[in-house]
Amino acid sequence: MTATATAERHCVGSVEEFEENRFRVFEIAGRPIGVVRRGEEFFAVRNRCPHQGAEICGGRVSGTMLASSPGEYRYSDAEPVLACPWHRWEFRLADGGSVGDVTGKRLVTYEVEVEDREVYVKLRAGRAR
Amino acid sequence: MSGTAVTGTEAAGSGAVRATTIVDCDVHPLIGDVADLRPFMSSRAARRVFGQQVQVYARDPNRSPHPTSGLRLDARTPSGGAPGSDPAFALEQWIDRYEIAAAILIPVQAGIVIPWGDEDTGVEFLRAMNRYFLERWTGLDPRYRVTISVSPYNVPAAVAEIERYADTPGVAGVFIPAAGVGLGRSAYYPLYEAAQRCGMPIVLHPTGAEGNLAEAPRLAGGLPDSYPERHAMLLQPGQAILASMIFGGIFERFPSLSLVLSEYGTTWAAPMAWRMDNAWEQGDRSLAALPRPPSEYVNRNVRFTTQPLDEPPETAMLGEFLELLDAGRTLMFSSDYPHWDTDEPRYILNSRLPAELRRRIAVETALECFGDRLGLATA
Amino acid sequence: MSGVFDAELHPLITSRAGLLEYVSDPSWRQRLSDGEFALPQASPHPGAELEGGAVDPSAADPAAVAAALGSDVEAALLVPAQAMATAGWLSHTMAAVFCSAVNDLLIAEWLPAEPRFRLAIAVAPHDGFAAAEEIERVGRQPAVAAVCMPLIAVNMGQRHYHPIYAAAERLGLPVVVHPGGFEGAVIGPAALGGIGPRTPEESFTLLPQVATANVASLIYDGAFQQFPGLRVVFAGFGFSWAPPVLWRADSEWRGLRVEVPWLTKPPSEYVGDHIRFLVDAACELRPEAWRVAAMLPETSLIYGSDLPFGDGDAERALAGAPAGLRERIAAGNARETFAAAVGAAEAGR
Repeated sequence: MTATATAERHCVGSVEEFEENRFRVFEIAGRPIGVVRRGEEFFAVRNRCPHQGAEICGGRVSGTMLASSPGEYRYSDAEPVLACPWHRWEFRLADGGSVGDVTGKRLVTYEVEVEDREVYVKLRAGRAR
Repeated sequence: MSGTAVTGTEAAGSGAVRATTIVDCDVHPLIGDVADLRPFMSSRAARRVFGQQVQVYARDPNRSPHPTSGLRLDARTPSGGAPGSDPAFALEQWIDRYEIAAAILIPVQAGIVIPWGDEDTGVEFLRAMNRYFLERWTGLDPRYRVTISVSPYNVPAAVAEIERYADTPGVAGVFIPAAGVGLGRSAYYPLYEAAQRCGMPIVLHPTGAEGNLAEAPRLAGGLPDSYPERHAMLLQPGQAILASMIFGGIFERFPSLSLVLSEYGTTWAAPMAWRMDNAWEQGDRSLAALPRPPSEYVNRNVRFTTQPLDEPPETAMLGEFLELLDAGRTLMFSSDYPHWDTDEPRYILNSRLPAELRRRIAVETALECFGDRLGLATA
Repeated sequence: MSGVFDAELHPLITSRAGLLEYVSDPSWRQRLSDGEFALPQASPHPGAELEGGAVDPSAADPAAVAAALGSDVEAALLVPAQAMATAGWLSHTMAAVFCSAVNDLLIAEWLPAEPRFRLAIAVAPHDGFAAAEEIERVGRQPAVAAVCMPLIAVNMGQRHYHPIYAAAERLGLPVVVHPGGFEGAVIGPAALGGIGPRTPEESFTLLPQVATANVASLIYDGAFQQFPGLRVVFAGFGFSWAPPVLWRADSEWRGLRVEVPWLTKPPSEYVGDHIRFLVDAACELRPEAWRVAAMLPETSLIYGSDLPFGDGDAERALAGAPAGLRERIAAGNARETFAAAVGAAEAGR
């Protein structure tokens, strides 16, 4: 899916075209980028898991288990997390950081803007491919 | 080991694997609905299996549930079927995409017969599976190479099945779901004799019954109480099988028999080989059946598939172990498609393995092991 | 060698009557005396058949064992191997009674014979509460430096053991675990992987799996977070199998963190503070194994003579060790591991 490009941001459709928690993947300036809606928030990530290169947008968006005492579970969906469809490594959608620091690698994320019910992905200027 | 010079970038997942063919030595075909085997079974067997005359222990999802799924989340078939249940979709998603020249199919569902007291039905069920996979998978595309399954409880039937398929194109080896007797014991000699005679490697792989079903091999210690604990222990039955076959003298008795230990891991094999050699040295050699140290048999007769490849804190540690394993001789690439802990070919072959081992692990050792059974045009 | 802390010296008990004198409860003494009770065999190693030869009877004489200690040995931890056979016993109370008697015998007859002797008090793992009581009963003696127990088919991370860990942690005692000789052969002790029947070589080969299963259980179940002072010493299981096990544990955790969210770091990083492996006669001491030793935290390895089943030559055993690790393995790691015993502290040791 290609997106309409402007100098600094790329429109990926209207808010209504996005189902909750379901990624839609676009090719933007040659990069595979997935965009997902969580309520009124949107997140955009490179569709590539930093582990083995899986198409991570085929994974699962949810909350996760916070740190806890042995035997105890504390689920929270305050921060949305994407789990890779393969090894389920979890990355925060907001900043691409690894949940639980299981890896030092980050998921590449992009800023998303919503204006007049249209969704735009911003690529960082001068970013190497 | 000298190899092809490699040029270009080594980034994971960037383009094809450098300068080599790939053989994937562990791909899991699934029969989505076991009723699909009916056309391949005798009416007697069908009445036994589908008429509730055997206990079909579908894996209890509550015994040791994966927190999400034990399969890739992105591998459901176009018709919504379970991952691995559609050979055409697997071609598109996996075989074609990674330009895999041959994929060894290991049908772990064969483990379903492990608790069956009705041996005849177990034999017929597995015969039906073998016909099914050859027709529906290899028949669709010759890159699919089937391991024929045989019952661990009926060695004459296993011998007959091996002989039946000895010259059938598309048959890569023989898969034995491990059950109640150690595979190094004399009960299995005729099976190994037939496999050796027919040039068929023995391919072994966890069935999921280990540490669960009473008739299946155990895990060490007690019962694990979490998924990661259990999953990390699944290599133990593989270690036990290796010890059993080595000290049972199987490779002395059948010197050209090949054993492939699939999805049991790799790095443990080096410390275990040293330990076996110690045991061999300490014992009374005049009583033992082994004229050679165990490590020699491992190096000569046993091959290991790479998935899941270890991820030590320092890459140099993996390199050390690859050396200790004589990886250029003993390792063969595998993906475990479509399970959750799969290994991606480019990542493994381009980024994780030293360049000089790439061709050996990607294809050459598999060619030495399976030979013409891979159906590859020789270069 | 400049100094050796021998963390595994097996005192033998060869007199049934002599042991029964230490059974404090007269009714139990009567039961054991009247019945089929027999002292467990001398060597508790699966695959002991491979070692050949009888054990020197002087191994049951504390004065002789003391006299034979090298001058470079600064301390020797007595690990009563025969108590490890209790893993195969069905009666929880009999196992506890036996361990208590062994402890009292060793305290009365062995510790006074040699100031360098330390004691790993034996507990039976079947009943965690009884074991904790035993730790409290004898664990504060000045020469007590550890607890020892065999492994049953309940993995070490489980709550079953919490009373034991609480008591051991409270008294600053590491928990030493050691084979009992029936792993994989008898129902009750820790199982071996696969399925038998097995040759002695197979049993010997597979024994490290028991340690593997328990390392994983301890870490994944969060035992070291529940008991931050707990240290576990795996004696008689080797060590060169450990790095691959830890790497596998880390890989599993990376994808399955939600299963064990209480872990705050990779599983392998719990080893440095909490787990030790003995370098003893069970090990395959060859150059390749020493390359692997360098991949473990430098606190991990501790020398044990395994007398009378090993030859007690620390210098030879450690000859292949990387130079930077040799002193740690010979004494440094053991000194540090066994230093926290409150009994010793109270006695000003």
